Amino acid sequence: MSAIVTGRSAPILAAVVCAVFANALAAGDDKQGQSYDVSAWAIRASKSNNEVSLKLKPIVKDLKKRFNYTGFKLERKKQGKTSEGKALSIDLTAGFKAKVTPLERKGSRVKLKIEVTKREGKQDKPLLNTTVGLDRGKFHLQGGWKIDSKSADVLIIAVSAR
Amino acid sequence: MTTPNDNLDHLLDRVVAGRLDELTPEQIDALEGHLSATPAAERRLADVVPEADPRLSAIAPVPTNADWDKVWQRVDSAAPTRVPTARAIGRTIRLWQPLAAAAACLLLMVLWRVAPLRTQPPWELQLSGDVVVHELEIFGGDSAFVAYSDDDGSAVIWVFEEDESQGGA
Repeated sequence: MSAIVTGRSAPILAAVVCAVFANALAAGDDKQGQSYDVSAWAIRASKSNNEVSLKLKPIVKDLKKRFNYTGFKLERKKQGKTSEGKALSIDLTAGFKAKVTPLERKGSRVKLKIEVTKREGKQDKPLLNTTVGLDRGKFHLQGGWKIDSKSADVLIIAVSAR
Repeated sequence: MTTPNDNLDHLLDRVVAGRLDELTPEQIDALEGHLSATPAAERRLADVVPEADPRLSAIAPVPTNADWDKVWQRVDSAAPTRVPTARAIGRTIRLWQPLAAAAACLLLMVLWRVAPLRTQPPWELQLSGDVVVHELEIFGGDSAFVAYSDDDGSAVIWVFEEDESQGGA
């Protein structure tokens, strides 16, 4: 064996081992942990103003049509990377947090588990757990929670993955 | 009475004594002819070693053994302690070849994994159509409903909090 490993065959052998290793890595990736980009936007919906954040313009018509609110402000926009079956925790605003777990990706569709919590004291209080299927790279909305006690503004979360 | 050979013997004595510069070109020619014709005279010169000029010894004295020892000690101390042999160099090269190949493979793998990230288009805020709600769990006294759009099948999940008197959606 040592005779085979020495000399000119050594780099070839090393390259073959690396290629096999890379292939196995890629195969494992396909099988259990494809990489996902996840994005979550925190939107403050208000009835006290008509202000709309510039970045929300593409969906402002939908927002106004669907919700009985006039102002939509983008509070926070965060994105991260995770793998299939692995939750990505995203801090939103005012103690709200979205934990997004990609479950499946088939063609142009993704399936996500979304868990919304709010920090109360030292604990995260669960508010809503959902599993939704949606178009890859496009957003799904859920909301209705009051952001603070000072106003009637509510939180809308837009979640997407690809 | 002197014979020509007596003169030649006298010249030969000068040659033996190393005083060649005292001979004229004619005398040298005559001496060469004599040596060629007289084997006895030639034998007389066979083992003669010319004496060194004493002035040369005075200018450049011959190094002693102690001097040579010092020289060799200096050479030893100036030389590297361990000179790599050709075999060791060959072994190093053989080790570096697979390492270099492995490093190249690793670089390719990293590029392979990083490249797709760079090619990802920026997020475009667009609502998804055909949203399917597989599971929905609400906590405490809150309630929720799913509002589907007739246009594109997009859906909004709206939560009514327990103390909320009226919904916003």
